Amino acid sequence: MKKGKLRFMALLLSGLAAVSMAACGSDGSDAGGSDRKAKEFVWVPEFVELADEDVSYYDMQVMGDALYYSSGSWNEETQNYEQYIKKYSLTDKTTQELMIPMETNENTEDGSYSGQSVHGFVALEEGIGVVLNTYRSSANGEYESWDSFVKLDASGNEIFNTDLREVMGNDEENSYIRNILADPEGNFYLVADRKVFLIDAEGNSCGAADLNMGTDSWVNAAGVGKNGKVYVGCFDYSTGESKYILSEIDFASRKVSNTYENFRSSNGERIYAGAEKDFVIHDGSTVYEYDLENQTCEAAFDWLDSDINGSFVNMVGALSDGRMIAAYEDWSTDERGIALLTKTPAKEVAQKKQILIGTMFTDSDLQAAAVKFNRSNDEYRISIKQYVDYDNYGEDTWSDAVTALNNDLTSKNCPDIVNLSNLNPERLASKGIFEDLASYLDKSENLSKEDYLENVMEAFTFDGKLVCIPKSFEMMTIAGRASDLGTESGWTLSELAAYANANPDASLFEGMTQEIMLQIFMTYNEDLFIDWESGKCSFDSQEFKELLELAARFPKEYDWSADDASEPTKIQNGEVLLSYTYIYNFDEVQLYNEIYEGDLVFIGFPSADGTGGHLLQTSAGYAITKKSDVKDGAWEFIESYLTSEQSDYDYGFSTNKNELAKMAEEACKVEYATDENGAVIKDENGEPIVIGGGYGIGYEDGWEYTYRIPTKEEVDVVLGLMENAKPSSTGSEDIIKIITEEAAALFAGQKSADEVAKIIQSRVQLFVDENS
Amino acid sequence: MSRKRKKGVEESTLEKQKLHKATKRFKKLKRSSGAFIAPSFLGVSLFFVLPFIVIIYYSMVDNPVNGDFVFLENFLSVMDNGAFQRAVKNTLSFSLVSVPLAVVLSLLLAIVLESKLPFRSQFRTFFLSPMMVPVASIVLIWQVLFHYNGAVNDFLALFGLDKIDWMKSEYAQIVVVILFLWKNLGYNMILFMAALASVPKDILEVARLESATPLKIFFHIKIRYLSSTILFVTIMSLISSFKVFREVYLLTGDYPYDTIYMLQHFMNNKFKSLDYQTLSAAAILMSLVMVVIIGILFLAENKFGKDVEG
Repeated sequence: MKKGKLRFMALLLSGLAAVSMAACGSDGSDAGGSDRKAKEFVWVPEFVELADEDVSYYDMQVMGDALYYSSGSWNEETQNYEQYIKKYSLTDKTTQELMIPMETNENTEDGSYSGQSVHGFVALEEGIGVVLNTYRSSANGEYESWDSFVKLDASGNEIFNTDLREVMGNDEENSYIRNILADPEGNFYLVADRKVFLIDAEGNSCGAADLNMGTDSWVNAAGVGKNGKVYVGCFDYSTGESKYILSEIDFASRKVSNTYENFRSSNGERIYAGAEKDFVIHDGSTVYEYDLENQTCEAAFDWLDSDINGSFVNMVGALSDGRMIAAYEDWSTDERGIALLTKTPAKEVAQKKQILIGTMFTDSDLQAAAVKFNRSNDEYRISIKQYVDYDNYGEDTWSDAVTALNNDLTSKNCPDIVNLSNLNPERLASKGIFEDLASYLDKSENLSKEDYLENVMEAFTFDGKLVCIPKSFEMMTIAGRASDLGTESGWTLSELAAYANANPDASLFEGMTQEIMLQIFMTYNEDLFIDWESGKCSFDSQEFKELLELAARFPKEYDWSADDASEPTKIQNGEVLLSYTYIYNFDEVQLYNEIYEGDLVFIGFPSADGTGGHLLQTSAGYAITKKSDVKDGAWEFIESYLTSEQSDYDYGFSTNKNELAKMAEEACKVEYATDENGAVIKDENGEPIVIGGGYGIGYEDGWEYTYRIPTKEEVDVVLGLMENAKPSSTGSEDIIKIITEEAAALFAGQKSADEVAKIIQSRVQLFVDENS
Repeated sequence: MSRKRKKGVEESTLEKQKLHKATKRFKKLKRSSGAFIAPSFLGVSLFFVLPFIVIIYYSMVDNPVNGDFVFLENFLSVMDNGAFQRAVKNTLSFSLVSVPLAVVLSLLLAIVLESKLPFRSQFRTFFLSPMMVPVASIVLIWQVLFHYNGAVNDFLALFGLDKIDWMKSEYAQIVVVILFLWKNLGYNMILFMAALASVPKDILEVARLESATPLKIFFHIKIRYLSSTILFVTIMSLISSFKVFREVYLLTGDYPYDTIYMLQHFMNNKFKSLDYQTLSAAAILMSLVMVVIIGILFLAENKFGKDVEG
């Protein structure tokens, strides 16, 4: 009997063990494949536009089913900017205005001025609480400013007015109020950097709750939870790693009564109670719900699924009917408004084929492109998988993200499109992961290969396959004196070293460190020391040792406070020879022309063959994976991204030749200011006033320059640089990492160039052997 | 005669019944053993056999994405790779030096501690203590000692000697051998001490009565009884020698000085660069070599230890 029982137990346990193992396997695969899972619900948006031009989307608050926001308008009569809080009813769509009683701004002839402004507000069930800033400046320049907290009823009548100098004292570390909150009992919480100041419902100061944070931490966000209690979120760095902590503030004890983990940092300073869980937060791409009891934070939905660019969402909260509300303001497209989101079973929404984009970071550009595509395409929908976890960023986060992406690329979880920003496109392309986009360009009715700059296309063509087409680019180069270096771009490392030796009293560059110099020297010179054909390195050569010694001449760390003279002044005085230059528009040539007093040449980075080396830095590039089942849809997205118009906020030059030609033409087009009759307006010297330019650059030593419209010649110089622009030949960060790691001993004076070169040779040779 | 025959028939029936019962019991036993083994079998299949099959697949395709069959091309390319050759050479030379040292030194220590020395339990604890230290701390200790500005160089400076970059020079492999021995001697020593204690005392006594010298007793009796333990310790040390990568990696990163670039470095770097096909081919070659080495060790153990086995 006993034996029988034992056998039964053994069988049961072995069965359980087998089942649990099966469950483990299942969990593992689910974790990686969740992005492809069909979603049960989607949050369908209803977009609401507020008929108010002066509305501020930065501090919108939800109270019940009403939306509160601040607004203002110029009063011609009183010559004052009047501020008020508006209450927009989400049910009957009516707006109520609550004027904030403030002192009128006064400017007197003797130079004194005074006035009041709204620092922030909190919406209440009946009325509002406002922090008002009062400022006064006397004729002799004495200035004072203080805050007061005012509670107003629903009609705008003042209930109490508390001077915050008495509440906050002279605590300089906590003098700025980041957030104003109120609990259901009517108590107020003024959240500063590391303290929460407390005021009761009658306006009496009740002290402050200290958040016990280190000097490197401060409040990130605060809000009232579903339970009516006040919570403050902040990063804790005390353990050496960043950890987000949510603290509950107890009004009675003036203390942090509880702390909660696994909360996420939010895209905004105010956090709101959720419909189902205690809080709803978002990180710019995903909306999460946080449960206080279990301390869990679960993704509710992605903004993209609701056709909203989450990067520009300022607030998200829940309404009493279960809907969510979001306020957004996209300054790149001038789109702004309110979205009311209703949870809807996915089957009730038109189904589209999913295109998954894998990216290390999700930026607003990518989200904007995806939103635009999702809104306009009936067949496909973009979703994004970000591999880097911002909230738990540590030493291994990047390598973990690369490993996760690699695993996905080789498994059934492979994204359809990969954003190659921050990745090594050559290494990935060599694994045969990507489609050749040239064939898609050949078939395209909107684009052709000839539309794009040859050197940009060449930079992303590996083994004859074009893996991505970046939309824009910028350039880095080196500027110098044409009288010293000649008028043509291009030189070698030896020529650079000779130039430095010929000018022993001058510094090659301003503000450069040994490490940056090594990187500059290696930008185009990897081939000088590595022969990939034979797989041999020569980092123990005399030439490399001289390069190390040249870099060692620069300071380890540049002391920016040591000298007041600016780089332009030093260049003009002959103390500095070269300038590390960043060219992202057509205006920069005139600035360097001025710095070098007309004696300018963009000599470029030294290269092994002595040709002009202007470093090409491209924007995001999207590659289609071979494993994708929706390649046509993926190409549609890339095509839509490439054909979208450059916004005013986009940096850099277009890679599209036609667009670039338009940009060049626009850049040197001179337009004159005209009056209402179309007549050209002239300045006091009788010269017509030119539109554009006028902005400038100034240094502490007084050197300054005001930009004008660039000339055709200056635009041509930039276009000329583009012809020689190419990406760095340093294929791997590993090589630069080894060189800088080992060179540190030379820079510290601990080892000779011979010793360092020998170690570099040994280590880089392994890398070359592995990859050749 | 007939009674005899009857008796014979009865006996044979009884035997048959007994045999039947035994077979039934054996079958039951087999079934229950199977149930006990099932979880391990499943685990081994899932986490070892299945991945090994996947590795064989990867080793014969052009890359994990295309999956085009290339048969032995990856093996040929790996064998032709300079980094792989160096890694094999370094790993073999390290194992050839460190494994015999780990076996011989721990055996010597076990013999010394077996005699009635003062403070023997303290010595035992001293040699076992590295096992209790986490890898991260071991690496920290070694960095403090063998860094260019570390304690060993400071000590050498007292005698006017120049600094040595221990981890980035030809001395690097010596440092790693010392680290390996420091970490593994204690465990091996305990195994040998247990084996020495199980050598039959009567045989040793007879040998002593027969005027055998301690050296003769050691080589002709003890070593024979220790043969299976020596085999076990050698295999364990060999496996540990392949695993020394962990410490080397934490000390020196992906691309160390070439004398301490191990096979695991090669595989780790290939994994990072998504070269699964090369990594798989290298792993299979390595496992084949391991099988051969362990097979040879088993043969040796059979030859030298069979006369003392039960």
